[in-house]
Amino acid sequence: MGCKRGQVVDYGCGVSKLNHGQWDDEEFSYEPYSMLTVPVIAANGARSTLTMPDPVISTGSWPDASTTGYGNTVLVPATTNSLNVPGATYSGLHFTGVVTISASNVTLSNCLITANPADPWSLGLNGTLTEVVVKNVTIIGAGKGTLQSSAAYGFYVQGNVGVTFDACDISQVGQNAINDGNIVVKNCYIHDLNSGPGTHYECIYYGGAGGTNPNFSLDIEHNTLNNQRNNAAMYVANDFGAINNVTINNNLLIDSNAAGSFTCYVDGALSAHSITNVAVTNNALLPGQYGYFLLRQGLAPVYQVTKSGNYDYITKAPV
Amino acid sequence: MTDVFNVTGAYDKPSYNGGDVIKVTISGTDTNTVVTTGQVGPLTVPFVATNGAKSTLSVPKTTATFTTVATLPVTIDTTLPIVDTSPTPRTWAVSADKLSITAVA
Repeated sequence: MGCKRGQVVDYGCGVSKLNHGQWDDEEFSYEPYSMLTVPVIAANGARSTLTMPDPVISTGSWPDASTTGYGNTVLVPATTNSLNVPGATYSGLHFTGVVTISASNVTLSNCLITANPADPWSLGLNGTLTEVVVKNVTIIGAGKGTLQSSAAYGFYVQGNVGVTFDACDISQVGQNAINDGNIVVKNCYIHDLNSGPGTHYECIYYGGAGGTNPNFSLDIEHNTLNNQRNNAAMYVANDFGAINNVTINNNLLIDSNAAGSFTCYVDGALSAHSITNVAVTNNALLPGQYGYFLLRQGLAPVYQVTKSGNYDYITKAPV
Repeated sequence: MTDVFNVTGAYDKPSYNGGDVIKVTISGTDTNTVVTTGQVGPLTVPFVATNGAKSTLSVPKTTATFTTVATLPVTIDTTLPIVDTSPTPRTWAVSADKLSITAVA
């Protein structure tokens, strides 16, 4: 069940407020992917219908539905969800259920992943891997229909994985989560978040689980991260370890000014681990109800965050 | 009689800008299978022995099944509406040959 009017809602990070009704159950519902249905007729008068995805219409320079995902690629059902062949390319496939990449040099491109309600995440990357590419992949989570009590993930970098997510379209999830590795997320469109009732919504979450890896890096470049639910578009915090080598540059970061907290967190208040070499630069933002940023040293012994060149998406004013 | 449609549609571009003409072309066929039954026989088969003696063999009638498979062309059915459930539904026009539809992005 979703939140009800008047219910006290935990917005994460110790911030709670009275919900003013933006999250009624009705609002959790979402339209299925829109389709074009064409009636066809055979020469003998027999009839059928042809169903196809909507055309992709470009709307601007930030990543959106027209520049991300599998586009108009004709898909065939995948025969396996376990992508474990080193160097293999998987393309033009429709997966249902959890997809797991567990080999290096795998490329997953121009595919659709549709979640089942019980799936804790849609795309897992497991093990110690290098040179994994996930490009033009659409992930559609189970949304309100998830059986998870909190966030179901879109992608989940479980292991120490070198991976680039490029031009992916991810929706109907609660978060996309990162543990460890060398991760690049670029040109992606993460939007229309929906998940279990206890979800802290964040388009991308990194909680410092890679803190003991001196080679960890996370680079968030030129994405549209649009969260119209609670909490944040981009969330980095020292929940589980030290934060090091994180770049958040040239993104469109949108938070709900009714339900969101801060649009972008780099929060050191969760544990006594340092936050170093973090850059938050040149991003266009719309604020949550508490503002654009929560950059807080908190318990972090060392807090090194560079913030520059960021601006309001509408007014262009520096923020 | 059964009809199995194997029809696909393809956009003419991977994506469109506002104002572009969107064209979808369909291709494929309908495999029509007709199964009929009919009577065979009864038959009377004459035969002859090497010494010239003759007789006949009577075969009773039976029922046989005849299957005919035809591949039929498919076109857009203009008697039914094209259903566009996008947030901004478009007006789609069917070509004269009924093999494509167009709309403005």
